[in-house]
Amino acid sequence: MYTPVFSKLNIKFVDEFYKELYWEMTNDENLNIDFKNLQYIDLSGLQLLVAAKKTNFNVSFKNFNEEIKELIALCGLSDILKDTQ
Amino acid sequence: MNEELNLFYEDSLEQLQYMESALLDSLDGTADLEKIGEIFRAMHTIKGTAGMFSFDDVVSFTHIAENLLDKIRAQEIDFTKELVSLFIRVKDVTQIMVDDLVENGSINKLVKADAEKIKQELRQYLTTDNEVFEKENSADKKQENHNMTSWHISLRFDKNFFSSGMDAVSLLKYFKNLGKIVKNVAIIDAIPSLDTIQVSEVFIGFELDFMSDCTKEDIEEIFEFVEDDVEIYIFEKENLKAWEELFARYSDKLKQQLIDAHSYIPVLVEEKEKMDAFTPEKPEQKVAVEQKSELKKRNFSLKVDSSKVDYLINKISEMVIKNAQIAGYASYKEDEDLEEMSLEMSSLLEEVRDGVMNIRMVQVKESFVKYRRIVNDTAIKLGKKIDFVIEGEDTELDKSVIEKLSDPLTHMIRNSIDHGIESPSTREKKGKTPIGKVFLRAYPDAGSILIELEDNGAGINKAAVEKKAIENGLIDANHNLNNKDIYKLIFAAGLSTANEVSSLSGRGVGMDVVRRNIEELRGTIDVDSTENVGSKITIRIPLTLAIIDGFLVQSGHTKYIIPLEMIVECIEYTEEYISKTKGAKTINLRGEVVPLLHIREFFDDRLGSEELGDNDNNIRENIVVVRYGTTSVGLLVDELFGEQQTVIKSLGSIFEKIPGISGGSILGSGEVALIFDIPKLVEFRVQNERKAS
Repeated sequence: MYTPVFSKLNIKFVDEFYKELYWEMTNDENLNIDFKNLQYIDLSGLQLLVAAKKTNFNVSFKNFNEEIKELIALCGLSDILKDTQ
Repeated sequence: MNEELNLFYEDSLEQLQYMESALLDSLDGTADLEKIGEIFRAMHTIKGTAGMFSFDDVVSFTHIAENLLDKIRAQEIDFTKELVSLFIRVKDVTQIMVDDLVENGSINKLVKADAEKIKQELRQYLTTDNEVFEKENSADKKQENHNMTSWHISLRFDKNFFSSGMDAVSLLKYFKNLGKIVKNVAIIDAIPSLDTIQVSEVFIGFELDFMSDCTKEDIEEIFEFVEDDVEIYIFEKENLKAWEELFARYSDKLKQQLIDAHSYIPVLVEEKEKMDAFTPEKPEQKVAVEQKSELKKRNFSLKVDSSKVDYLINKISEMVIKNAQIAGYASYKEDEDLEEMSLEMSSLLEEVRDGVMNIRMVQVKESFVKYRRIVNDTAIKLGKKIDFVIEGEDTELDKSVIEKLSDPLTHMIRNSIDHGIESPSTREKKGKTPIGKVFLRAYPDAGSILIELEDNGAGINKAAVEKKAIENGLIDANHNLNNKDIYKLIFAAGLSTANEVSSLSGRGVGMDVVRRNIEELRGTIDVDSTENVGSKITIRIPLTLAIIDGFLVQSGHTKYIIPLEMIVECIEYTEEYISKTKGAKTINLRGEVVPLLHIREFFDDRLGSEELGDNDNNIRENIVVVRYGTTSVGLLVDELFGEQQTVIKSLGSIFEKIPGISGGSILGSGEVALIFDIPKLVEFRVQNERKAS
């Protein structure tokens, strides 16, 4: 389980998150990421999550808030970025 | 500020300016549909662009205003004076919100409260709460009631799109304001794995199915700020040809993805296409389309960051200097071919220079419009009635000059209304109409632009100005000043004759700043006034600030440049002429008495005895007759070199206060030439003449 501290995943923070995510995914093949702290995500953040899923299909996400779920749906990514909770 | 945000800011200000102008025109209750349309378009455009930046407060505020304007446009509600005033407040608050968002990234709480209050007032005009609700959800309503079009939109982003500062998700969100996203297929094939991904680059794309009653142009507008960073393909979903074109570029996998997502339904499309083939285009439709495209063509313009134009001007300036060096070298080597080439290059450079300078030229109308608001507000505040007339608003002036004129003109206009125009009752007592008139004019005059501010108010109280100036020690009690010079004292620091200090003017702080600002633009101010008839302030400013056509002369050890447009003629100061006029301080120029100004003496740049020889007569002198306004002065110089393009360079803080010099320029030889400040030299010479007489 990995719970990022980031409340925003936008172009400003995405590189930092990428480094953490890469490290976590290298160490856990079935990584479950808890996004309970996440308040805002932009396309750079969404794209990175898709890249993570494409790299390892076993990676899973949970606790997206409603607003972020809506945003994921708006971007047509609901199938790939499913909330597993 | 990033480029997109800057464009949003400029665009919003421009729209608000149009809106204000249309509102002020409507204050007398004579608003026509065209004016209402302008106000509506301003709100609509700002709402649209604010949505792209997720400036939700601006979107919701302008949305309600837009709804009400829609009703006014449909003539369901009268555009009363009260409503016009309310929309003036809408404009003000929108501007403050935009300023706040662009400068601070958030809106001040007080402004938000103000916006809420105005929203409530706007809602009152929309008949029922339900109507407001319905209107606010107009996108859904439109889907039910209007002829909806089913659009397909293909979006691919430039890989560096993120560096534009725009959030692509906001663009998608904005679609919801215009209609309904039926389906969005994310194209993720190009997204690499975590090992190789560059997180700052965009790999994702979108294929959107979108239902709306908006036009293709409306959809294109969403991407107005990022059009260089997004590849967009918009077409009606039923347009088979467009699908074919799009599919020709797509992989089989992507095609299948779209078919699976039911975005592309080949059979239905084919059927529809066949049906459409039998529907002839109505002639009036064709005409309308042609007119629209013609309109687009006419209105085509390019927004360019002014720093890019400045960069070009600087480079051209450097080329002008280099070309002057080549000309100097050619002359030194007596190479006629090279001289000829340099001459041709000079003429080409002149054309390029004028072309680039022209880009900076904008009509003063854009700037003058805001003064109407200032007049309106000031008049209301002071309980006065003003008829404000703008003339020559098509006159063009360098944009930077216009910007620098903004504060001085604002101050002068306020002063004119506060101190110049009398109250309606006073005016009636004086036998004048209760409505005062203020004219703001702009027109070109001999290489300069004249801006006049004239009013038919009380005029300047000459005696009061004189008295105050003597009290302040600005002039001597036994002064020899004429009326114009006395009026000009209003521009001296700390001189105010106002009996009362108002919130608008009367502290004597401001008019001296006005003068300084104008002088910084190499401009001058003149005042003319008649008591109880009115005053006229004339500002004369040069057309451009960077390069001028100059005339190179030498006097003593120094080379000088005289702005060409101020030269009337050159006269050789022959021995005969000298003997006739020896010692005289004026010459007779075909019946006109022209005062002489000896440049060597003025700048105390006397030549040594070796250079002089036996006496002054060994130096071949010339008179360059210059004219400023209606006054001519003959400048006595040693040598004339001829015309040349002059790149104006600042002299720096140490030398900038030299009287009679407005700047410097680097000659082809590398020497520095000083540029004459002709208005100052003329003024100096005329004053001297007056003192002597």
